[in-house]
Amino acid sequence: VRDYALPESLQHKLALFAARGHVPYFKDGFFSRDSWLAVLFGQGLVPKHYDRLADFLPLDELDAKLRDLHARIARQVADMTTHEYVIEQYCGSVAPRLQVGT
Amino acid sequence: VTAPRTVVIVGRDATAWLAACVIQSALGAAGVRVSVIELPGAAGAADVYSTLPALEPLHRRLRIDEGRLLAATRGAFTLGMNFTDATRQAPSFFHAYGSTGARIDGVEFLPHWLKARALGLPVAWEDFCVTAAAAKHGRMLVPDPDIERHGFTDYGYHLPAIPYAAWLKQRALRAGIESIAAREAHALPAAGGATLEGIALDGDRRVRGELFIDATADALLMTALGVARESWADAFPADRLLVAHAAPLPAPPAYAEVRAGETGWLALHPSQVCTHVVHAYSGETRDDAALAHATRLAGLELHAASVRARSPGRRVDAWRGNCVAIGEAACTFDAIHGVDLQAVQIGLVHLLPLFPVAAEFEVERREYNRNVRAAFERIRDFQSAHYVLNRYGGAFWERARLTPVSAELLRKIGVFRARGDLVHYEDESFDIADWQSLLLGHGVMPETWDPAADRTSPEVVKGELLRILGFIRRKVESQRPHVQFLNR
Repeated sequence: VRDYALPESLQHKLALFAARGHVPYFKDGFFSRDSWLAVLFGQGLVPKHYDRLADFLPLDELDAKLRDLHARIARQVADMTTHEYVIEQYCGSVAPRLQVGT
Repeated sequence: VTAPRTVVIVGRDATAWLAACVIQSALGAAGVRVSVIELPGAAGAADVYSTLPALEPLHRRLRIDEGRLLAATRGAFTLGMNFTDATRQAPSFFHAYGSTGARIDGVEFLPHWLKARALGLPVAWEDFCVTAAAAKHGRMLVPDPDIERHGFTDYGYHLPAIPYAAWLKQRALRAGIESIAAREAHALPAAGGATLEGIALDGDRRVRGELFIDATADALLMTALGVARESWADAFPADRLLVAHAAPLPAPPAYAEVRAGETGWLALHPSQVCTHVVHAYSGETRDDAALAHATRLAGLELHAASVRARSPGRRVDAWRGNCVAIGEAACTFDAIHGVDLQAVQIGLVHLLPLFPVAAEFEVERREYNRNVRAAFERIRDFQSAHYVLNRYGGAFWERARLTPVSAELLRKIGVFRARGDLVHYEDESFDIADWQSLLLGHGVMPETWDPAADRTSPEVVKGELLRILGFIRRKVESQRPHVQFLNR
């Protein structure tokens, strides 16, 4: 499948991402920009350059903002209940238990 | 070779200075240096920019204070355009920069209004629009939580062209943008002719640059690069514009009025300086006859009238080589909806996130050209609809009804006529509310409505309609007159 021919629109999208991390936004697109970024980064693509609009923020401010964002995400995740607990709360009494080994 | 760091803008008037301010403010921190080769201005004292609501957020990004801008330029607010018919064939309609009605029972307002109308409701579409009501009562309206609970309201400006350009220039110079005044400029193509190397000015001066912006209106740089133009002349009946000014109105309303006459249309754009008058007509009418028509349509004494040719059309590429055309150099629109600055803005906001990051930028160029082309074509469709759907009297309007339209517009009108839905494409400048005003205003009445509206009983709908009308009345009464708002 790695050798499949790509449609022109996808080639263009990949070229834009490779050049500068730009992901075109389509009002009628099914997948959001975040989904595209997850796929493209997930497959190991790394843009050659970044958008120069990002230079608007001084480097130390950017560094502080990213650290803060990262810390807030970690804090919020730590505060959340576990998936297992939520399932237990919602349907613990009614959902049939998965019987293993019977 | 690295990414371009010097941007040379060649142009005049507000287009050149808005481009300079926007690029400098967004990319100055990335080390981009902007200089402007300023050619003699083409705008006259009667010229005005009638702007759409999108300009205000761009101004805010540039940290332009609205109160100071309007005080410095003696401009005014506009809540929309009132389209009237001096040929007495069609009812007038108001194209407001705000929404109409409110959802009822979770369903859009239009299907409810269509059904109520079929049951005998005698209230016009625009009477359910708080923005239109405020405008027609001489008030100014700004967004507030009350209005935003049900819909939205917005506004544009009438900015006298010369003081607006001067105000932008002053800001540009303060921001450190280099300004080079020149009587004339010539593009210097690089070897091979695909890119530009620099600009030659009068008196043997040369300015070199890496990225060039053509803000010249007559597309000086694009022409030197051999970029062809796609004419839209057959889609628009007017090819001449008469511009003049009349005495300022004692209480300038916060809207423009566009009057249809037998040989064209006439627009009145009030500002604090004067009433700016624009008359569009076809070359079949002689210029002196056009002045007589304009005077009669305006009902005002006109001063300093001047005439220019205006031919809508688009450069096949807005970005070619290392040169980006902004504003009229990229696309000239029909004058009717005041979209000149919107075209400038489209060119700039699409450029910023695609501004070259390396010596090679072919993929960015392709993306840019595709996006701005779509954006320009959707504006053209909106204007085209105004002409092709008109019900006015006279040969000018008769010819306008027969002008060709795009497949996209044809589909849009067809779907709306069938069931009141709007096909909304990518890159639209005019929103659903704008299209609804335009299509209903020209009498395109949907034949059916979304059956979801049938779930609500007529009594409940009637109560809601009365509630909305009551809300509009109270809201409008509590707003300040436009003049008071301008002098706040």
